[in-house]
Amino acid sequence: MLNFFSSSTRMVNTARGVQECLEAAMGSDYAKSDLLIFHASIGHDFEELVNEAARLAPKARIVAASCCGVVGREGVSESMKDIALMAVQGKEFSMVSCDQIYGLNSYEKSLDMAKTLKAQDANINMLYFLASGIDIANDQCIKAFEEVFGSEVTIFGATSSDNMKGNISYQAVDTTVTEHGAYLIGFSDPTLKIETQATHGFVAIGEPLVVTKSEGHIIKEFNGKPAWSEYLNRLGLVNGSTCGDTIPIGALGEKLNAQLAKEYGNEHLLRVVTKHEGDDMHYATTIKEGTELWLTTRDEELIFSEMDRMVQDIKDRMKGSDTVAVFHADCLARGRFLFNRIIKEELVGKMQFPFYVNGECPPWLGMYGFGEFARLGGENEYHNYTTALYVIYR
Amino acid sequence: MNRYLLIDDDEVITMIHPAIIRRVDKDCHIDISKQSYEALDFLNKQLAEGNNPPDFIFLDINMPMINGFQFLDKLSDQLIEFLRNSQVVMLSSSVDPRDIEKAKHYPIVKDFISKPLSIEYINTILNKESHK
Amino acid sequence: MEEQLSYEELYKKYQDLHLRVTRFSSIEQALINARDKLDQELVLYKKLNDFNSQGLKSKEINQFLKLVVESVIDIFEVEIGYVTFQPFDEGHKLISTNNRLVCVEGAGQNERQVLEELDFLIDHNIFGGKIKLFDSSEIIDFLPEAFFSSCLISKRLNIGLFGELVIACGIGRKKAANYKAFDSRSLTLFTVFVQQIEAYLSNMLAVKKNKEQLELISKSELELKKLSLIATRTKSGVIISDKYGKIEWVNNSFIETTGYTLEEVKGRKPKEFLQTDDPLSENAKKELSYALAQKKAVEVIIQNTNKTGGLYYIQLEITPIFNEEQELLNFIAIQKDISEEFRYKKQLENINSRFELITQGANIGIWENDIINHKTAWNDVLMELYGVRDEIDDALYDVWKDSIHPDDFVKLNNDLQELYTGKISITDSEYRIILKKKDNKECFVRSLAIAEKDENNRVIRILGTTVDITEAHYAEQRLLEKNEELIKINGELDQFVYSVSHDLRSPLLSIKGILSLINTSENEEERLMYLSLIAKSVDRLDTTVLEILDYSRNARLQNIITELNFKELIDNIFGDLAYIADENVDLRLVMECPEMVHMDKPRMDILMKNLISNGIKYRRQSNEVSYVEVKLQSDSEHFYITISDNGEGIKAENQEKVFDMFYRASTTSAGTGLGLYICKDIISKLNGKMILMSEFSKGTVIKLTLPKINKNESLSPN
Repeated sequence: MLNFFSSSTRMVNTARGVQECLEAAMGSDYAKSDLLIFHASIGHDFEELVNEAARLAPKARIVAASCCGVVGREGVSESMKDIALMAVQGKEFSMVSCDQIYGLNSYEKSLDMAKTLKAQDANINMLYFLASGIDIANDQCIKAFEEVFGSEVTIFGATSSDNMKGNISYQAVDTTVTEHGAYLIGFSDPTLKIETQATHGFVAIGEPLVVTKSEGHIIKEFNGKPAWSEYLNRLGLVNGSTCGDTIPIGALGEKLNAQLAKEYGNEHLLRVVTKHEGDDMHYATTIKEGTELWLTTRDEELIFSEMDRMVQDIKDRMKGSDTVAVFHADCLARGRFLFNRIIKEELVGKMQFPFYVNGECPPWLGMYGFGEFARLGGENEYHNYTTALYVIYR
Repeated sequence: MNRYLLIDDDEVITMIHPAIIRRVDKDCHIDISKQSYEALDFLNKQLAEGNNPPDFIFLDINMPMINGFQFLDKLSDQLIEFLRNSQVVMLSSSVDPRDIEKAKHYPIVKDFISKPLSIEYINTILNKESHK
Repeated sequence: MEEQLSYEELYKKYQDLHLRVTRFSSIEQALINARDKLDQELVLYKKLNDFNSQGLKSKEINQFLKLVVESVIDIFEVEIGYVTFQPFDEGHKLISTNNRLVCVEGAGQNERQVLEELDFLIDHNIFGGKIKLFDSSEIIDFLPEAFFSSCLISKRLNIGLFGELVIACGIGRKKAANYKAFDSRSLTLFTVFVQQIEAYLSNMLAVKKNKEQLELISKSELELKKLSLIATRTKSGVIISDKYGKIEWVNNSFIETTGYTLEEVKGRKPKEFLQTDDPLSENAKKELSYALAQKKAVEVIIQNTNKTGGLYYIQLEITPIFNEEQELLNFIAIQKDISEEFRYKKQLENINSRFELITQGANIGIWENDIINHKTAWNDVLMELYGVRDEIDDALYDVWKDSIHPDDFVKLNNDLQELYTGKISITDSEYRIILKKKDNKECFVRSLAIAEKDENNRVIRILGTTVDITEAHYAEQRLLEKNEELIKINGELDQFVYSVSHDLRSPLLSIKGILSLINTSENEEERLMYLSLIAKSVDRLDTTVLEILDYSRNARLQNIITELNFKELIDNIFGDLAYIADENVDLRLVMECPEMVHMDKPRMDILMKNLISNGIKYRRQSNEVSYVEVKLQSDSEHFYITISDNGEGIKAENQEKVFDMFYRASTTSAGTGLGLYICKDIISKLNGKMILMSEFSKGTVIKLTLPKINKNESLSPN
């Protein structure tokens, strides 16, 4: 049986931060943990982080991913020195990882990982996936996983990010740190179930951009014009602007069918562009030519109401069961770059409160990353610009 | 016939003692030695010639060079044996008890008297002799 | 009428509108960014506040500097923070023992490179001493392979007396895109921040110094409390006086002992009312005055008087107290009543000096060997004996050892060994010593030695006496010699009596014998012969009596020196002795000096008569002509008389004995044997010498040497 413990803190000194998280999460028994899942802002040294964790809990497996901020039981923190931990005690899990995963090889890498993991444990009932968020074809990853595990196994997780510059991000497995890596954790505790859902409050505006030329996950032309330039033009940004400038405002929406739209609470599924090379834009998933992509704008009211609805939906589906742990992935664009602090904290509070068990927030590990994985229409799906909750319960 | 040996250095004594002896023992032989070594020579000669030892020896204590005691000391065992039956009488002009005491240590000395020899004394010793 | 817009115009308007819509987000974003900036300002303010409050709380330099680097990273949102503190005084207690205290945060893997880069920039003071913002181009200028893309460095800050401080922060190249670039605002903020740190650090160091001084003070206070407690409670009297010696404070014991109260003595100098006229304290008083004038510590024993006039002795210790600038502040005097001890000490000294007198008078040498410490001590008597004056202790033992007579060494050593090993407790030894310092004079000494043991029965000290018994020894020797001589003389006397009695009696006994013969004689002729024999014996007796007379005269009479005619003397003797000599003996006299001499007539008479008559008596019968010659010679000092003959001579082995009493070497004569003895006696009484030379059967020569004497002088017998 798996047990979960979480903590988060903001600390300049990485090693001390690790120690504090461990102690806050598990008291003096942190050396008894079996799996440590860290999220930390880009200001931390990930080598130091995982080495210190390994020193303090030599028996535990360790994973870490960089992000733009963390959300924990303690609340939300978006700075260069955040660090959060979900510590797992129990043996019903297995782990696999890879390095050098890009948009071009997302499928192959994911397939290898899935196969390896399946071989380790045939009873995996949920998959936690975290990959480098800069240049990756997430739909291919999902495809590969479902091939091995079937679509019944829920995929949840996120992609690692920096502080929205799209410059660099880090992943770590045990004491190895990568910049374009991914890890996949399969939980096999038969007593555990998971509910996932994502939500955003963006609305499409104006006329869509039509993908007139694409290759895999790379968009080359919009409406016959060079993709990136046209994109910037539409957004009203000058030439020379970076992804850092486009990400907050340039969410691209794909139209959903009516049924999915109803479930999603939104007509569009959003995508982020985290990398461009010249006029080539690296899209978050593979993209077919002829696809229409809408520019979007934020609707604060919608954000709030949709959030409430999602939480309620999840709770309904849980049918009164108590929450064991919540994994949470939030798009960084929904953080301080979207809301001021007060509103953001209100949002997070409203999100957490319904899941309280015995008046206390359950173990909660959330990160502000580039992307989220959650089911939509019964299928495993990749999302951007959402708040996605993964609620594990018994 | 009795044989007498007088050992004395005094001139007068050596004249009167024989006379006194002869008064009693008319027929006797008397030898006189004026000095100890003379006497020793004489006795040795007697012994060597196988003669009889003297029956009586009158020995003066006070003599020059070798006195009476010293003479006795100089007697060899042979001579002592030779003289075993002889009567050796020591004479002195002083009756020093020490001398008397000393004389007792010489078994060969039979008597110790003061000078001069008297006729009575000779009688006495002769009578003793004849009673043997 | 409305102009109908063309389709193209409508479309264009539509497109413009469309663009405005899609571009709205970016404008909105700008607002959001502005709001975020405000938020960040609040956050920054909060961070600065946190830093301030924690900074104030910091007590340790190390702790503070760690806070500084972390705050720098947090506040300025940089990758690396760095602080260096270099103390001026390496041994300064306020600061860590590191020469250069360095705090670095955030450098991770690249720490060394970062340190080196920043050290380079700081050490070379490249930035001209200002607080400087380095951007990448500048850094590349100095350090082509730099880690940093930009950094802020403070100038060297002087923290009061303590040291130099440098604060720096920066962003590495790899993550540069993730960090906000520095701008002038950053620079201003950094400057203020650095000033703040400078202030905090100075304050902290000052506070620390203050704290240490306070600790020192309170420690001193504690010391002071303890000391004052001691001073109050101790039985010894304590006086604290100012630098002039005037009393500031006295303790209870002083008050009790002296009878004075503090009020009575305050401001006065102790010696005014404490010192006495005791002659024994004169030296102490002088020592005191001198030491106090010199501001030196001093310890003396001195007599004091109390208020009621009672006298007592104290052991007085005075210590001067100086401040840090070596200025005299006070004197502290501690006095201990040692009257009792003083008395005892005096008694002891008296006993000691009496003892010294006794030993000196009795000439007893006293010595002590401390075995443990190898120290030897001798008293004066012993030193005098060995002729030792300035030897140091160690050498004394060697002096003693070297002077032991080799023949006595072994026994003495054995005795001492038994003493050392504890077999015996006392030894009494007599031995000879050869005093090397007194011309190798030989002395006899008697030593008594006692072993002193410790509680483990180990011998730790040997002490004892040594007495020079040379005189006594020789006296004893002489006594023994005299005894022997006396015995000899006694023996001689006995012999004399024995022989005299014999020589006196022999003729008488002979007469006795002859008388009995006469009585029994029948012959007239015989009787006549016996009568002549009687006459002979009578003569003999007479001679003996005369000789005894001579002897007695010689022994008793004092020497009478008269003028005598030597020739006449000898001629007379020749005439007297003619009756025993006959024509065969030639009596000769040779005079080689004047006839008139000064001699002891009676003695000379006897002497010459004896010697000449011997020559006549012991003539050799076989000679054709016997002679006896007397020769007289003289020089300024002596007479030389030679009596020579060609008589029997004396055998070599008898030559010495002839001078013995009653010894007769020859049977030929009728002498008593006294003759030569008397001659020897006479010669000695005349302080002369007699030499006998003789060869058996050839002759005899007697040489006499007599010292000349003045007319009226009388010789004392030797």
